[in-house]
Amino acid sequence: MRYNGAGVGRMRTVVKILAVIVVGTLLGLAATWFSVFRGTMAGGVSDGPWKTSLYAGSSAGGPYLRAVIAVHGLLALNRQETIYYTAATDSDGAALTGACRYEIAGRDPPTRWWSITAYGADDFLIPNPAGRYSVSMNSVARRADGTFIITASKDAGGAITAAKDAAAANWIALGGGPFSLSLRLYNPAPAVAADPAHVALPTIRKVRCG
Amino acid sequence: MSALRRNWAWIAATLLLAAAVHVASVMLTPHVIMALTMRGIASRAGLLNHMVHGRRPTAASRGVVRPSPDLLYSSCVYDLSGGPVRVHASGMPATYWSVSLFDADTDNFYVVNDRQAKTGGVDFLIVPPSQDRPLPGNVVRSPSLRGLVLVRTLIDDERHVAAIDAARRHAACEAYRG
Repeated sequence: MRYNGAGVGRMRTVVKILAVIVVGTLLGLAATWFSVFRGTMAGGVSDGPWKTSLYAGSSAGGPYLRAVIAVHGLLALNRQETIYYTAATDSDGAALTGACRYEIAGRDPPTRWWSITAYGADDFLIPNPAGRYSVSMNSVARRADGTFIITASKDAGGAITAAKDAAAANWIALGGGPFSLSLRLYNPAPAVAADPAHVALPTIRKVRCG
Repeated sequence: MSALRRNWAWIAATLLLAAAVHVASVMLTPHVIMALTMRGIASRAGLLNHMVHGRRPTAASRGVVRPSPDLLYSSCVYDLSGGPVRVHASGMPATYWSVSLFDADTDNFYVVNDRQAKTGGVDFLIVPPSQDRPLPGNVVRSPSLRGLVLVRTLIDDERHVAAIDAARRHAACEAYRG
């Protein structure tokens, strides 16, 4: 450091210390933001559009994993108890949006109980006058061969008017904006808990938009 | 380059501080999130060691993200600084239900469901990490003095919502005076 007189030198040192504190703190917080808060859950596996984490509900081994679980899977149960799958895209990989109508087709997954629920971009249930937030193992209407088609759309439209009560049961209401789906499996079959990436889960097909 | 060489000590100090802030904020994150969650629940309960039976989630629910509209959630913030806390539930509804315990760092250290609870209910004591006096019955050791009991009860039939809701209100939480 060049010597420019005691006052200026001390001034520079104070400015540098302040810069170290501000820049160091911001860098540290930014690293936490990117590694913990942004992005998704660690230990991710996918099954078609459905994603889940092997670590949800686990007693985490390490500060990073624990922080990520606290942010993305707070108060979740372990895999033997419940497996939580989330889909933010359809089966073709396009982002889910309430501007489109979707058909969720499949058959009952091997589990004691299941439900499919839609959430808005804020991760809360989507307001709708009919209160149609989810379809579950008990409420779904199946065809003779055991398969089902659930409609997810902003307006009931075809889902309710096209057919009888059966079709009306298979409707999840959306808002206008982006949304995601949660598929919960309660007390899943041991094979599902052991390998959640290879389960016959429902497909999500975009029918039309606008 | 010469500027870099001249200021290496300052740059090193910045990076060291960044690393320390990063590690500290990662380690504090679960604790802060859990403290805020427990504070919210405890304020609704009005007191600690008391089970709150939340209403069925709707689009207006803001307690915890991504609530299931098919579950009824009951919760109790426990505080073991005055001794063990008893959690008991008998006459629970004949549907899926589970009682799970989370410590102050969000770790799910205990869970029991309706099928594992052979008696149709549960009755156990949550004891502090330092507890050494033997206690009667089932004992679950909590890693922290404060934590959360979360009871999930499944609505498996819309026609029986009222009965399921009434039965899950048997789940209770109270300071143990043994």
